[in-house]
Amino acid sequence: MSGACDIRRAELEREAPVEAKGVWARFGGRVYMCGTLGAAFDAWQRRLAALSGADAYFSQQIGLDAVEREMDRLEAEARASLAPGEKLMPRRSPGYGEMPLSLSREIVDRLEATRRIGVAVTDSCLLVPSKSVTAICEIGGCDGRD
Amino acid sequence: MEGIDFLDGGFGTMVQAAGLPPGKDPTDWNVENPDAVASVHRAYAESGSRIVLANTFGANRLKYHGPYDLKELVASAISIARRGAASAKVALDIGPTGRLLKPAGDLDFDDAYEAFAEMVRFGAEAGADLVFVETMGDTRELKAAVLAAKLNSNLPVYATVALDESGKLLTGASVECVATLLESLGVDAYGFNCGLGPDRMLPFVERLAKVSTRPIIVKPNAGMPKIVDGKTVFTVGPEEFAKTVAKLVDAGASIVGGCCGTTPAHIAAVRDSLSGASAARLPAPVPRTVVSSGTGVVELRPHAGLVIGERINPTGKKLLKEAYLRGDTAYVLREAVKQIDAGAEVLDVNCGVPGIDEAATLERTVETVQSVAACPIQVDTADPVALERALRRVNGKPLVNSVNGKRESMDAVFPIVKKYGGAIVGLCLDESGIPATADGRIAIARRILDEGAKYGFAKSDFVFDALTLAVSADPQAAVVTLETVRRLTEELGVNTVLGVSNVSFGLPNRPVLNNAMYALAKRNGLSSAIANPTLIRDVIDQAAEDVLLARDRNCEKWIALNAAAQPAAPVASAKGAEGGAQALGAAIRRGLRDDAAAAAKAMLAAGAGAMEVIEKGIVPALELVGDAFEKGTAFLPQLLMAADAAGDAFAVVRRDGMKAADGASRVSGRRPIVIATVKGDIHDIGKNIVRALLENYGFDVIDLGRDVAPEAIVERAKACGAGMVGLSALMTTTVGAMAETIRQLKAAGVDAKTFVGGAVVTQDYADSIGADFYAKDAMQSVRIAERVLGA
Repeated sequence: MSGACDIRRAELEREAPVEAKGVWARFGGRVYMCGTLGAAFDAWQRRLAALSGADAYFSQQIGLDAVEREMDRLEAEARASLAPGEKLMPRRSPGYGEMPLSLSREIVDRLEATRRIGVAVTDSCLLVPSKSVTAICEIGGCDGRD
Repeated sequence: MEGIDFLDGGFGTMVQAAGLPPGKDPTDWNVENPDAVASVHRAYAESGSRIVLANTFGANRLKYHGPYDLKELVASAISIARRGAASAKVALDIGPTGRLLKPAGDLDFDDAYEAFAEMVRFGAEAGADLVFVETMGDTRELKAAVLAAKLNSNLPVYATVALDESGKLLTGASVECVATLLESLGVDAYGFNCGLGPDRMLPFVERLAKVSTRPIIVKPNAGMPKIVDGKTVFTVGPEEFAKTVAKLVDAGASIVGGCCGTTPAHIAAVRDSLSGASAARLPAPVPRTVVSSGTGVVELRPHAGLVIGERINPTGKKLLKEAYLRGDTAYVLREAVKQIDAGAEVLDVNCGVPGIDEAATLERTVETVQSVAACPIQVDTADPVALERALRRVNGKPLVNSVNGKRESMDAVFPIVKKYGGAIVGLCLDESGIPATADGRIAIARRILDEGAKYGFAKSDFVFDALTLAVSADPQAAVVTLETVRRLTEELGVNTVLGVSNVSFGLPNRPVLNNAMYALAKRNGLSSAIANPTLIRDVIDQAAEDVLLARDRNCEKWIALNAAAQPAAPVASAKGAEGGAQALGAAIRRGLRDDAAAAAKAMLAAGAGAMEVIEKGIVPALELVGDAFEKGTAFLPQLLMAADAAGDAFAVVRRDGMKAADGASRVSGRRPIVIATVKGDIHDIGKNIVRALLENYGFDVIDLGRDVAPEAIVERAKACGAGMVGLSALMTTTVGAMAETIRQLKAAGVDAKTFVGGAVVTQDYADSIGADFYAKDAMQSVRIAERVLGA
């Protein structure tokens, strides 16, 4: 059975319209990031979910993995830009721990993510398209000026 | 500079240089620092701009959150621009709302439209010379803004979109897709701004010039933006910018300016470099009949026979009628996806069910279908009110089915299509009915073309339906239809469509006759066929051709041939029903959908009844996998794949084996379960998984979709007599709507048990809001349903 799952997931991974986009920028002692798989991935996922619960599940996993990879890429770019002595602290996203979900709006606005990569924030502070992530990394060893 | 008009350049760049603090909305400067704004306009006018965009880019109620009154801001912005650039025309500048429209986001089309309409009214009242819609990244928002401009003023409307480097909008629309939409909405000029520098805009201007009948606008950035230490930087200087813009003019652009990073120096350089130049004289695009969706364009061409999927039309489809009446979106979604997978290039959407609110249902169904369909839609209704509401919501340029030669029809339909855009299906009938001859039908087509021309419609805006009648009633029916198709194509030079399957009404073996009719019509020029894409094929059977070409008197040979070819009664297989049940169970447990369907079919063929297939094959396998999931020896994907396989086996039983008295109880004997993702929450994958599992365990599920208001859930639950209501919410910000929905269900006295789930929902929370059950996962939803409604 797990073989059938693996095969189906692999089929869907080949077919998935993953066109990850991301933006990041440094604002003083913080790096803001936003990544997304865009509207095409959502549309593909809706199509799959219309016919199959399993495909809906697999597409969800594929999307989460892909958008995390994009965030990893952004983080790596940001890390590479640091000055000697500076250190990028762990990436944190709004909605987890002490970081309020509403911070997503500030990240999206400051990065102009709506215009640049098509990510918007709903009235309920959800990110759309659905496979989108915002995050902040503090920078250690810097003076913190914005 | 004959035929070339000059716009202004970047505005944000200039006001930032004039001291606008970071994070400050430039719109406020219309009140707080009007002289600085006027200086920007003046600088552009002095550099050669003949049209300046007033400082109203973000002055809509969805984007602007500052302290000033919007009407005052817009009026002030127009007045400042007039003062600063007295020699130039002043455009009301309309930028995006900053929100994403449904289904990608949560903003309703009408809310976006109203925000833009208000701006347009303010701008027109303040004396703007034109409306300039810009930086749009979504065809839906673009349509809302353009419609708002056209329906709330008499001003010229210019529109530009922001492309990414692949030449698409952020929501996936191609250059041609944008062109198709804006041509159909009748804007005065359109093109591109922002997003790209002039060099990267060039190939897309070349593509646009091949299809655009309007002046092409370019407003590129000064190169690609880079963020350096939190600031956006553009690097292309005035001379380099001007050189590349000159290439855009050679490619067909005739209204030129700049966007982010450009300054009056850039515009002056463009003006100087184009001194003595004139707009390119390019060949006019060949008229084409095109329709579009939010991401794609489909062209209708003679002899192509493209398939318009007919399955979202309730005529003769009991399940679809029920889905409409119950407000169940899942059924429509499935039909849409199946047809696209089978090759449909356009989907017909018809909601004509007696007693239904057709306008509301059509509007909702169009939204539902285009949430999964990348192909264009054919809006199919005889009700002008329903037509108008649906056309307003279509993302792209649809086919409009239909107008006919009756005066009443033309008077009703043409103005609506003129307003919202569309290619029109013209039926060759009038007040006297359907003419018996091709001559009569061609005459009606000519009359429709003549009347349409009065509204500005060209031949390429029409697709004519030659009309298919049953050969069982009139042996000459197909001959006349085929001749009409040929003459419409050759004499009138128009595209054609046929509802193919009418031809075989009343005869056996209809698919073969339909295929032959389709194939013959294609050879006569047919551009498109409204048909079932899973069945229609370009195949001519000789006997079928004889029927269609009136060579088989009274269809006698056909009837005799096909009466003899009825399928034989099932023969019990050597393996027997018991072995079949084992094979079916194994296929389900392993999640093999095709094998499960084949095994169910084999059991039925071996003589098993529908209930036997369900009770001995499907149910035990599902129970085994469900138990394994609960014990932790199987995992969610395995459970879901097994459920999908079971669902396919159920479908075979329903289609091939279910008789009126046999086995209907598992599916229809229990009260339905209404499920929805609550208001404000647009994440629905978890809810969809629950739906799939419940359905595949044989429950009757009515899926109301996502972002569903409490009132709508209460209304549907009451109307369908739901036994259970399931609510899903993903985020802390939306669980409040879950509580409110349960409150309203109780207040309305809905006799249904509630169950809730989602990433942030817990047993404690479920208890606190008065939910009857908390489902920690999809399988538990099934167990709860079994307890409440019976296994």
